[in-house]
Amino acid sequence: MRTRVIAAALLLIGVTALAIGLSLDQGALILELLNTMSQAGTAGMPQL
Amino acid sequence: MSEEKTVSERESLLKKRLAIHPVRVARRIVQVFFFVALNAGIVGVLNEAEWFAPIAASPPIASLLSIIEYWGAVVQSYFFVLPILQTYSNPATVSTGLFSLLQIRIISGFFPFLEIGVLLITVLLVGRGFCGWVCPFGTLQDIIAKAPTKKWRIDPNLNKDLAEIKYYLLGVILVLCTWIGISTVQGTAEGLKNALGALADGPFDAISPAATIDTLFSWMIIEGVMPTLDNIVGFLSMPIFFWIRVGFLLFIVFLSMFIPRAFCRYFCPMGALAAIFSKYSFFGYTRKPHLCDKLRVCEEQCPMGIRILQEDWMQIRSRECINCGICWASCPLKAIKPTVS
Repeated sequence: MRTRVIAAALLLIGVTALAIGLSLDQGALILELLNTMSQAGTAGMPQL
Repeated sequence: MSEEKTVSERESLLKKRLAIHPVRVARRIVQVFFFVALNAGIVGVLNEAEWFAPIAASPPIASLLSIIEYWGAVVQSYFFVLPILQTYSNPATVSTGLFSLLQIRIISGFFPFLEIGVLLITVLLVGRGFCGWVCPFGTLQDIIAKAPTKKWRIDPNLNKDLAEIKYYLLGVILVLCTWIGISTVQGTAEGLKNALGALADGPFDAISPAATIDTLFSWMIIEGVMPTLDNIVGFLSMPIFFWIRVGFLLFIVFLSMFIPRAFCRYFCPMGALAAIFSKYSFFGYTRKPHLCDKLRVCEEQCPMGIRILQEDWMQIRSRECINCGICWASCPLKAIKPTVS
């Protein structure tokens, strides 16, 4: 029972966080990042 | 001799049963689809390579590339962020891994609402199913594990202790990201970023074996690099950070040949993040005690080395479980079933 209550609460938090994230247009960063090359992922590697 | 024969017959029967089990077949199809579709940008990378132009001109290859591009477009439309190990800096990727995005969001000084939302919803619905079914680096480890090597039998207690490494790694990465994020908000991050170098743009992405293999592989395609003496000399002059990354990647590949899903078990911070919440997942597996003869076939086959018989029979809630379904498929007595609670 306790596990189910925690699971329900976490789901509620998740849905709320997703709604806030989308309303803040946080998804826009994803496409922006996909179009640019990060310093981190390619650090030290041969230049493309 | 007869005992050896019995063991060999048992293994042969198990292999046959696993090969045709619907969950195993479905998982392989899903894994192949996502492995190709998530890296559909490889078509663009290939088109940049001069040596590939004559190959791409042949009709069957051109059709295949079009199909891959279509799959990529579908995945990018519906799954633009997933709880998997996929770095956005991968030149071939069409989607981004949640952990990669989480790092950059915190470093930029923003609260990761979107990432927390996606993480909680997916993990509560399917547990760590994305690790077992979707993650391309997980699929790669499954392929490596097919190498005909004698698999190491890791002591369960040692396995449990080693699995803690990824939680410490996650803690260090999150602390580092938060420190950079707070400094960014305060406008004092420049010195810190200079000191951290490549780590400042995403501490884990800078050493991630998935990022290393993606970047290196894409570079080799574009440059058409073959292992000639000149290339080897060129590689030897690469900076030390390159060798640290390649060394870590080779270490993971070596481990994966002897320990299935070695990276997922011991090092993956994305898996660790999902594992914190996976015990509250609605989806899981149940073991029916009246059918179970404790043959331990499920434990032997589990790629994550979970001691299934020590778990609660009503719902196997191990945070290490990646919901791959191999325990379900391998049980000869059909004592393990999926459950939704």
